[in-house]
Amino acid sequence: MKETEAFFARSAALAPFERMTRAELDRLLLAKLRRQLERAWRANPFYRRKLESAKLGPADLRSLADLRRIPLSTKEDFLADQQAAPPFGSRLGVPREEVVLVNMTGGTSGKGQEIYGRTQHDVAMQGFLHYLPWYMAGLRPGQMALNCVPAGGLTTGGWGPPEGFRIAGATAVHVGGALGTDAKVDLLERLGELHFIYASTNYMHTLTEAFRRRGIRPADRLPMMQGIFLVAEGYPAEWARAIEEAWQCRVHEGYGSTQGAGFVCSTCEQGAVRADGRRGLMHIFEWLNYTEVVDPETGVPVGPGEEGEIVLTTLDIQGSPVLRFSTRDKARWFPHDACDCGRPWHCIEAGGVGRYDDMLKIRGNNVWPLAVDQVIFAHPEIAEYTGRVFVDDAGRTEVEIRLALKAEALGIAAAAKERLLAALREGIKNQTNVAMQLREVPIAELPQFLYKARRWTDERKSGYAAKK
Amino acid sequence: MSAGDDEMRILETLQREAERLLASPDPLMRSQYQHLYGRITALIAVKACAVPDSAAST
Repeated sequence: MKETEAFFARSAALAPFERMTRAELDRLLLAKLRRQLERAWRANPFYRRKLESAKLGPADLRSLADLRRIPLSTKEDFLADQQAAPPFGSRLGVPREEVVLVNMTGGTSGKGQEIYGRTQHDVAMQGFLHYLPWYMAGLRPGQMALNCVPAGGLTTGGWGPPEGFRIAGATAVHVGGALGTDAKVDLLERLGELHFIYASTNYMHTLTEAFRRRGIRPADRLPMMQGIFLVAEGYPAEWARAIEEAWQCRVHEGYGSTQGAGFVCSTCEQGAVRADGRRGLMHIFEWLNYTEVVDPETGVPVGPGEEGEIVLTTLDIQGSPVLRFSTRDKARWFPHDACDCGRPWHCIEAGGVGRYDDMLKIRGNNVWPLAVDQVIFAHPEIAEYTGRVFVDDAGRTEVEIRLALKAEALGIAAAAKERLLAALREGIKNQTNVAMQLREVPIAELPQFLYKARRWTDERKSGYAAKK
Repeated sequence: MSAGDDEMRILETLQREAERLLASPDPLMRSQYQHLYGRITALIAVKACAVPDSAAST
């Protein structure tokens, strides 16, 4: 398999961040954090209150450890602030008229969606926070790039990629949500040239399977491919290796979020799986998003190889910045020297970012079981249900809801039952943006939840059968 | 002076010039100048590997 040679054509702009010592980077981070606190103190009432409650003024920040004196911000904090000062809350930090793009967090927790106002500067930063990881993965100006993630809409994940490809100078084809999989393969056959693919883990699997069903090895048809960049879902290392084999290029991964205004970290030239078969490491762009990984119980930073919660602080975002945002994302942390690429940037492990709550990432949507509960149990005929996320034979992520009626509802007419199921399907789609299959089963086929209900199972990792 | 320093100096000059454009009375152009200004400040942000003393007040 060819290496992404283009990666080694170093950027003079990136080089200082790659070559500084860890101590130099820490000094830069402290200076940028102090500047960010000064901005928040001056222009952001939400964070001014947080800082005052912690009795921490900008001048009091004398070490990186001092930052931990600031209480974490949570989704609930943001939602309460938005409710008190709609629509952006008191954490906007810039005049409302300077907002040129509105982003919201994907899906719904059943609690509400966070709203973010982006300035012209922020839109450009969002683009860079997508271009930077893709540059590291080998994307170069003039190359053909396939964006399989639906563009536009309300999310950072919808707006960041088109901006990133534009400032990359890539010839981007935004097919996500616009074409079915077979139509995408047809288009790629017509284009005859492709260097880079940006896709969710699940969709990369689906696309590769579509080629396989046609009896085509992607690398034979598109031998110029330079890199594949995965987002959104975990995967087994063997699966990533099989994708590299099929496409004959390196698989990369990035982790990002709306709170971080784009990607927070991504893999280096070693990719998502290292030569010795170990998972790759995603290097954190710490000078743009200060990132802590802490024990969620104690708040203390975790040690090498340990899992903790990702806590984000933006350093160069003007509108709706975040200071110590509690993401509820779970990652395994490694110090910078755990990777032999030499960069001083600390890392989190590729392929394994999970959640501390029960949120499921389904086809790019954040789905909280509570949101589905609220739709289903709004219908008094339903006794219980379970949800199962799986990969079907065609490589598509599907969701099956098995639900049981209460005894008194068992006798309802077939037409009424069909209407009930249709209403549930529509309600679930409206609430989660995910179409789910509904199947009625006898109550005896469903588990009894005697304590906390565990209605959902995620079988996707076992479903990514490694096919070459 | 390295090429990187020179690029940063040019960007800072462009920022100062673009600030003058922000005062344009032409509503058709003013928003596009704001767009330009945001591009420049973002480029400065992604290139800056030091925080100037004056940055605290920006």
